[in-house]
Amino acid sequence: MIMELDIFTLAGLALVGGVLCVLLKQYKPEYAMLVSVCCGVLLFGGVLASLTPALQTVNGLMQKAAVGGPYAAAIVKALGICYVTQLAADSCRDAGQSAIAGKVELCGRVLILLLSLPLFENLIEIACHLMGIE
Amino acid sequence: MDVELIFKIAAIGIIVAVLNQLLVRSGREEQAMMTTLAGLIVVLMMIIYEIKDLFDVIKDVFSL
Repeated sequence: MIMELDIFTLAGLALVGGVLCVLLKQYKPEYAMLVSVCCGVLLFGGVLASLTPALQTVNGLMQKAAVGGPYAAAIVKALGICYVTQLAADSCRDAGQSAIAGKVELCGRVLILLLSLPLFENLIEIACHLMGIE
Repeated sequence: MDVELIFKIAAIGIIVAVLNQLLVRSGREEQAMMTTLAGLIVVLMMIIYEIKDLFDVIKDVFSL
């Protein structure tokens, strides 16, 4: 699935998908949604593999700044949740189901809140410790 | 990257639309609906593997 990708390949894929979507929407709107989902999955999947080195670089920088460990991992995880949520929500919204899209976004927010709450608790504990409140 | 998948889905959509028109014109609404449903399920089965691949890659990259 993964090969050498440049922006022209990706842009061409997006244009072809868009044209097919517009064509199919007149006859069968459900297929237009499927084509758009497939196009989005292929685009995202194609570019995601190139993201790994970038994330490793960011991780390395954060290790150098001595804020590695759970903090960097939490940021990357939140990023992943955001991407998946965005994909699902956009697909639903394109199909005209903005209610479901809103719920997916809400779910993503709740999950990121759950993810970051322990870190926030740490921060508050440190602040309390500094202020001398137990 | 298999761009052919998009063409495949579009082709199935067009074929099913034509079949649907033919069947509706000849007065077989139930069969037309069944054709639409079958085509939809086939395409869904094709897409679902790609979505699974994508989610696996996302899990891998973002260590979710």
